[in-house]
Amino acid sequence: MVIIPRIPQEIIDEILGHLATDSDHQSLQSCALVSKSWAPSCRRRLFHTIHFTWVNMDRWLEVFPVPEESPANHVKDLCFTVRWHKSLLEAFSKYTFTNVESLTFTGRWGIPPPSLRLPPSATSLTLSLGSVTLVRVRDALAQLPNLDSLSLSGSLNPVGNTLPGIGAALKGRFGGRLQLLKGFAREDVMNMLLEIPTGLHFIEIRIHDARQCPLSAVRLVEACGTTLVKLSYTATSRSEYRLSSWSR
Amino acid sequence: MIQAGEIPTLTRSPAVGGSESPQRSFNFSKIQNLRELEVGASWIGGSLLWIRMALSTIKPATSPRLSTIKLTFARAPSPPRFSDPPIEGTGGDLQRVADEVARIEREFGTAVNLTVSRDRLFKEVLDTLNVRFLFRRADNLLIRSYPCLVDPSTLTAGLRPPEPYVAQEKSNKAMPGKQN
Repeated sequence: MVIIPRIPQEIIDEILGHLATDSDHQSLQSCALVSKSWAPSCRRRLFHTIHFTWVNMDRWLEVFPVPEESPANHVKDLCFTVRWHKSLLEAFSKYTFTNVESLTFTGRWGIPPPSLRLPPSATSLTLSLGSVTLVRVRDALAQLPNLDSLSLSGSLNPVGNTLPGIGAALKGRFGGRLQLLKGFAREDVMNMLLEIPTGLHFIEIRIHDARQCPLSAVRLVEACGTTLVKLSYTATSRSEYRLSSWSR
Repeated sequence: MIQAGEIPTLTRSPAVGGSESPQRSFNFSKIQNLRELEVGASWIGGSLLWIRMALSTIKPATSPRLSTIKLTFARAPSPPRFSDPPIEGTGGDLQRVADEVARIEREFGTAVNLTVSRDRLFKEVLDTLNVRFLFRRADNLLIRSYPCLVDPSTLTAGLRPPEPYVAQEKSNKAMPGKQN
């Protein structure tokens, strides 16, 4: 009788880790079928990063109809590019992504609805959206107590902006990395964020004004004091400025 | 010391003389643990005084941990229905930025990895303004692409001297038979 030597689980994990690094999902899927001991490691790597679109979100609901048996707890990096509607929201709210570290919402209509529960484990939030209000951003931030990286880009809808601002939602608990790009790199947003700089070590600002440096940006950077380790500041000319100056 | 409600780092532009428009910029002497700094500008006109002012606050005594400075200059892309506009008011600013870059390089020596780069669209502006020193640290590829921008005396031993780029271009334009 031939005895197959038992391979230590650490070795298996190491091998599977290499497959995941090479993004060899096909091989990982095959490995998941080898034995019960291989399956959890494979699933953990296969579902580490999930990018939901309106197409594959339906597929997820089809394949994993029972939320408790879904691999949602394996997901660390979660991205949504979906247009939320009521039935989708109801179906999806049953899944709890308890171990998510990085959370991203992108797309023109991808604004997370207020009723969507965000995973409190997330330490990184990226919002790259069209026409979002600061109220919605503030509501999202309030659900994430462990945030240490925040990236805001897209266009900001001035309608619905209220006080307290987004800085209040982060005050006293946010430190790490802050990115303000495109429509979010504006005076009022940076003024709101003046409440939070203690602990920020990396600030990136891409602003549409190359002719001057806004006072709010200066104050935000200087308020970080000795904690700031890296600063990236990029300024571009406004398109309307270009057009008006050229047409003279 | 800055009091509540007071505006920090608000100074007036010495370059604009009698102009009343206030200029402000970052004061890096207040950020003593800064290690990495990236500043970029993509613009088509107007003053870049704020960059020069920001650079002037970088000193070895107040930024002892600074190890990387990356400056990027680009010309904002032009919409197709407009012809390229003249860049106005940038010459003096660029020269002063170049002076600050030289000072930083001199004062920090090898402690700081200093990189200054610019995109292709910016070439014409530099040709006009003859600001060569600013970009002498550009990488080999850029130097070979636009050797006319580089003062040969600033080239290091490892770099090939520039080829006669301008002369070739002129001789192509002056080809016989084309003018008829």
